[in-house]
Amino acid sequence: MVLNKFLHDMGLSGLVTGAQLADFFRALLILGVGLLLARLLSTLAWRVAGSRLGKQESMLVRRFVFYGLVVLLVAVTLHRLGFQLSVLLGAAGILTVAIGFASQTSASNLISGLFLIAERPFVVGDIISVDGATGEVLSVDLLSVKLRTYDNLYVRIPNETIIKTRINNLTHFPLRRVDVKIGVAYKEDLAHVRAVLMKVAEINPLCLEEPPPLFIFMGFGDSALEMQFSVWGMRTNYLELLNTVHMEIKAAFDLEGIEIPFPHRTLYAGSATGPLPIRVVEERTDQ
Amino acid sequence: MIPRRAVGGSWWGEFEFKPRETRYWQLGPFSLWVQRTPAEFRVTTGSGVDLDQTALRVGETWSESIPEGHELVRYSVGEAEQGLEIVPLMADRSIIVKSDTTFIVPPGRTVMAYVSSPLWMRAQLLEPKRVLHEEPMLRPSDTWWGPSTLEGELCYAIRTSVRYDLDNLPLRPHRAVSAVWVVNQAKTPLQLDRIRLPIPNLSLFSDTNGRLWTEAVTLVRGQDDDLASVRLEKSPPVEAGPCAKVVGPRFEPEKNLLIRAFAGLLGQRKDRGWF
Repeated sequence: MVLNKFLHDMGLSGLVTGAQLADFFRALLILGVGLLLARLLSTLAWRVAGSRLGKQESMLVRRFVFYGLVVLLVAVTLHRLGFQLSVLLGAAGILTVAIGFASQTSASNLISGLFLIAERPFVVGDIISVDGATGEVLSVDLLSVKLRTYDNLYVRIPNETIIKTRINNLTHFPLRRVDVKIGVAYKEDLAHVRAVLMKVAEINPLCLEEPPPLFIFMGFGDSALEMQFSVWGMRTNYLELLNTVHMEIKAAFDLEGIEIPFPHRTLYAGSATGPLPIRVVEERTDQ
Repeated sequence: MIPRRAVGGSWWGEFEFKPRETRYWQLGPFSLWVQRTPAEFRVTTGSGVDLDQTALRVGETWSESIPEGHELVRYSVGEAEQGLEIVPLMADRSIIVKSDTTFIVPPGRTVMAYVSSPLWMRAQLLEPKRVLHEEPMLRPSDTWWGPSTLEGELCYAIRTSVRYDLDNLPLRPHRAVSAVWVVNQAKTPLQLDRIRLPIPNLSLFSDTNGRLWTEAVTLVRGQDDDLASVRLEKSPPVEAGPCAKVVGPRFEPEKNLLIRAFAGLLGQRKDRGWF
């Protein structure tokens, strides 16, 4: 009655009946309360899943519960508003074909996302390097993966790119190897250099004793004897090990008098001519 | 200066501090200064170069300024807290003992060796007992104990001369001695170049000289692999003489502990694929 009076006052009594308006508000109420409930239930599901499953799985459970409930709510609301759902679904089928053609990229990302979730090359919290960006995985969604890089940038990478390109997962295994490329002067005794390097690794507590450090002679370079010295450490200590090992090698070489050479150039005029003429020029002093 | 409750020639126990007093401990290569200021305990620690040092100075009053270049940590405490307990502790991970020389136990033989491992120091308030500071007196190197880089466990590594005679064992305040029995019941010889000891499961005992001991450990190798059943005895070996318990284990040991205790079994080392 109140609604009918309100419609009459507004001059809308011919267009909408009070019962229709009541249905509309009821549908709105269902949608509002339902959305609130969906949010609460998805948070609850996330908490329950979080105690039993991993970070990534619980995030997925939360999203599936929330979007499942939203679809259900929309269907109930439309039904309450008097729409025929079977007709709508039929129309949606035709619409899907049209939208499908128009949104090939999104569909491709969606399919890639499903593969990514199934394959699990990384999980939320891993550090990955992909497409020039290195950072912590914040979320693995159906369309994209979100990263936080070390310089605190938010990077969104489409799932299709991730499926197609090479990914380095830096935190998959517990150990990492630090490779130090070193060159020493030709006059140095390589056995002594090797012993000094091994001592550096032995003294550094972050450098694992097993797997043992590796010493690889890489070749006779232009200016130096080139070698690689590799030490193993826990991935959590990687950065500290990287810094300390380099600093300690430099300090040990300085202490032992081992020369790290810079590029040399020797001028040779060939055997057909005589040696290059050299004239020493003294600095003139004013009389 | 005399600690309120300390055992024998030991460096641990409860220590009272006068206002603004600084006390000093020298435990082998490890130096510890604890200063009581009106609102803080200031803990300064440092390590020497000679790791086999045996120097021992216990809670002496330090009247000079603390040498620079050491790490200082400040703990805010109430005015009523005038005492600290200094406690020795075993390491928080298993220790891999690597022998300087190769030693082989033939099939059916049993050997006993003494192994010394570095200790941790903990400073805690008296009542209620709250941990203020904990650190190793000698930080051992990390090592990986497992068949590959994909699976295994992070442990500490120590390189030591495995000694068979107690007289050859120097009394070092920063280390505890474990008597390890190795029983080889398998049909193949056992190369004892690296042994894993479940150090966090061991308690600490003190003998009359102030030397710290752990329970004796028996490793029995029954099959031709690197697994061993580990038996922790109730007390240190009889060679230690009368001992008093100082502190319990970090983690209670499991019953019937079966661990991968040996490595470097003959002919197996090259198969690891570390590259």
